[in-house]
Amino acid sequence: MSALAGLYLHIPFCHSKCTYCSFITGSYEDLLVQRYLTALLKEIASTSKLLPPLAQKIDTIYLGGGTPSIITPEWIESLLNACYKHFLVDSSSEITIEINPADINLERLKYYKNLGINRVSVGVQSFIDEQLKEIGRDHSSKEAILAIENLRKVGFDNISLDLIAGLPNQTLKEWKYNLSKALELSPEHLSIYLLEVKEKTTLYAQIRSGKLKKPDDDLAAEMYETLLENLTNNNYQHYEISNFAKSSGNFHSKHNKKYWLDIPYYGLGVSAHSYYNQVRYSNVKSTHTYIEKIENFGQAIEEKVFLDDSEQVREAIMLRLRLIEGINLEEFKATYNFDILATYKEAFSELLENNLIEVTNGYLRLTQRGILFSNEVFVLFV
Amino acid sequence: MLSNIRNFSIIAHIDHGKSTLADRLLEHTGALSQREMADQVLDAMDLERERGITIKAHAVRLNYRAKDGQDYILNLIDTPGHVDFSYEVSRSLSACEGVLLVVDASQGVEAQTLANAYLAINNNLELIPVINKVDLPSAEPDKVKEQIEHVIGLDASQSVLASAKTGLGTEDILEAIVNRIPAPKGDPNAPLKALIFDSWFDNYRGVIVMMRILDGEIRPGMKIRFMETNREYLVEALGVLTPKMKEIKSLSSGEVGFLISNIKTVSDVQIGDTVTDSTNPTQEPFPGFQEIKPMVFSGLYPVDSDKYEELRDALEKLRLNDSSFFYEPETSLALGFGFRCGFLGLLHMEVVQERLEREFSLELITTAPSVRYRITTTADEVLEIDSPSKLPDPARIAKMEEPIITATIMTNDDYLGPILKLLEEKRGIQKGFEYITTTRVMLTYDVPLNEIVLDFYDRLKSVSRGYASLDYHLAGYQESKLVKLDVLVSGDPVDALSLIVHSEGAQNRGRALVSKMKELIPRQLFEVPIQAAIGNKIIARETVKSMGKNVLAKCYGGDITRKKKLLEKQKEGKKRMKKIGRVEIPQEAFLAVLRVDET
Repeated sequence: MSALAGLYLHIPFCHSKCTYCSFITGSYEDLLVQRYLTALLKEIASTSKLLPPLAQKIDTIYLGGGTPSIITPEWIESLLNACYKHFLVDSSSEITIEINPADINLERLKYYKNLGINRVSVGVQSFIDEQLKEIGRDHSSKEAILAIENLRKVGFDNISLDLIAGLPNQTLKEWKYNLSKALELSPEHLSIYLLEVKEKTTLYAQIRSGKLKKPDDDLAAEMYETLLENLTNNNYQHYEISNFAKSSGNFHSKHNKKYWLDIPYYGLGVSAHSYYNQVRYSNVKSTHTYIEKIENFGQAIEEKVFLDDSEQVREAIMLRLRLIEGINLEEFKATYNFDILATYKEAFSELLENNLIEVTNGYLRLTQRGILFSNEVFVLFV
Repeated sequence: MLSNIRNFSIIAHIDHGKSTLADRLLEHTGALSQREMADQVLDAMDLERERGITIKAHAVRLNYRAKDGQDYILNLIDTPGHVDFSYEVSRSLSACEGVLLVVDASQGVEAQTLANAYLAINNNLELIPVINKVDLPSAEPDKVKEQIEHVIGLDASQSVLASAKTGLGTEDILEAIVNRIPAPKGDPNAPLKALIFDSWFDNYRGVIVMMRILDGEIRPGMKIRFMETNREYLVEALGVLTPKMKEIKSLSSGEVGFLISNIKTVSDVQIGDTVTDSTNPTQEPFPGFQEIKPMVFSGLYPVDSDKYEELRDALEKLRLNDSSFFYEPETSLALGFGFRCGFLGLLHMEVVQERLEREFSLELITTAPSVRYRITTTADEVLEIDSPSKLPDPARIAKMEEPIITATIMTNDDYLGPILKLLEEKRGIQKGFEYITTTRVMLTYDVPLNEIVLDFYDRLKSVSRGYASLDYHLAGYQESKLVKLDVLVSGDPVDALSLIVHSEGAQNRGRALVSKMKELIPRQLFEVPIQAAIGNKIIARETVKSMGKNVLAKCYGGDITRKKKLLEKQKEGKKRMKKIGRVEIPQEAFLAVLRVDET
């Protein structure tokens, strides 16, 4: 494995906040955005200085949010330039931006393309306008389709599309409709999430107050099964719990895979997370504090969690199991000097019995059923 | 100086203001400065304070200069305020010459107040009615006086009107204590005779005994004997609570204080026992001693089986402070090694369980409470069994008897309908029905204790919106048609869930129980049938559907820590469950029977 690090830049601004989102985002205020991005530029520079040259080598850049497409393309350019200047960006790097369909037009997409961005993740979530409205998205399904058409026109050949299953009041029929619309657009990659209702979100409050009904677990499971059937029939490879890629070609998200494969990544920006040398870092969670800290100290780390060897191994197992291919047991043993099967023999016997995991051809992996109950497996490793 | 001593207790219903009044008396007599006063000094245990009840009695010595210019010693002997502890109350009252009968000016006389007032009257004590909370807008002191006269039969014209909250009437109360409660009688020259009314364990000094000296005198160095347990000790130290412990040289006839004799064996000291001089003993012990008998039984098991030893140590330590509960090892097929414990009542059971969990950080499973049944076998043997699992084969049972209590319930007649219905459902037999005022009713019923321990008290509170009050005492045994109700989880009977119930209500109870279990058992990876059965006959069935999903989908920007936290939360949740076969059952499901709200 080449195992170069990945770089993540967080853009915490949105036109409006989605009801299910617990992530750090704020509305777009010009002055604050300028200050924030200036701080982010500074963090890019200061972070690279802390790293030895070898660790400065990266082969993915991921602009996530929030909504990175909300800021001007010139700012995107400055950010990427800073990355090129302060990190050793591999020539075959994957450079991804998350976009909101409402933000972009042909011209802007061309600009992105010229900056070297070669992968675009489009936040579609649903193709049904009432549903989009219900969850607070500020774009229509028409805009989403147009965005993808425009991406194609400009020549993007690695497009990912995000959908959410199990939205409140969503029926199986509506979900199938969403899937078929997504497949019509033939994206190279699909990220599909089962809706989680998290505390401190508008959605949580709406469910608590009785305004909306909690998404039904059984229905969500059914949606997931429909999804698997549909996508495999249409030549998509299910490669990670929530991620699918066209089988023809190499369209796995190189950046996201670093999270699952115990590879370092540097997350810059407010509330961003990094992993390097067996330490997990997270930045402060308030945008204002972030700006202040960066302006004063060049760093905004709030928490450092040191993983001891045992924790590192357990995390590695848990995260790698998210990959559908599973864990190559020999390879894992060679890398970590750790025999998974021997260590978890007793616990695994029950998981095997419940058909949650399987061991075949030297790989340990979740079964199709185990994917839906993956937390039941992962709790073993925390 | 017997003539300047007054020994008294306070009788009050929960929330009628006993502890606050005690605080005022302590404050007024300067026993504690205001700075030293933690609120409600007498209720020392956290639990007591949280629940607003007194579990352990204490006695505090107050010094008071009365309006007549003389100095008096007032011993305030606190009493536990719950029906579970009625024997302890009776012993505390035996140490007094008078009581303050505190009644809330808006709530009126409640069942426990009545029971304890009668106890005081039967002990020939002087009762001083104190009508408390007269400062509240809803106060109706005249109505309450009428109730005191009509229901209890006391002259209420001399009642003290008070507000323990504002301090109103505190001095009047102190004067009434001095002027109306008789000084203790007793012969200081007779052989020592002292009544034990409380004790607790101190890690450094052993058992500390609270006692009232009836006759004679006690001094350090004296050789004493506990007459019931027949144990002898040397008096190491004597003292009084002010409420701080203060050692003194002697205690004599009429006085109240503590005794320290380096006693390590808690069972040597029994409440109600008499202390006397070994070398010159009194002829007769103080009458009325009873061995404390538990009424309610349940199994206590550690959720984590490895914690069995810890549980045993904790029980041992707890018993040092509370000799009124019993425990013995018990084994359950489902829960493994644990203990069968006996308690004075339901509240006592909850208190013990909570203390074990809180003070010893144990996670416990408590099985449904049971009472002690009397079984006559076909071979004419008589067995007393306190656990459903000990019930012999029905073919071997000739006769089953269950304990019956006589319950007194006081309520506003607004709630009469649902209360009568509840009593009927609980197999109650009406013994008395009396309007004590135009709107307040006193009910007397005989009810099987088994029905009381299951969920009677909570349901009485809920159907009367908390207004009805209950007091009860054991009335004997009665033959009854009882059956063992088993619960099967995933087809296997779980012994820890079995109950003994009356055959008539068995069907309904079984149905209600499995439907409650269905709510309490979380969905698992597979379907879990829950059945209720009597013998081989299934009488109810529910199914916990298999889990739909348990997957964390999105991983925002590599935030692994958050993911792990969520998983850790799940793991913690699993730890609080007991695995029986393949099924994970949460602690509260074992007490599901207490939470069944039949409609």
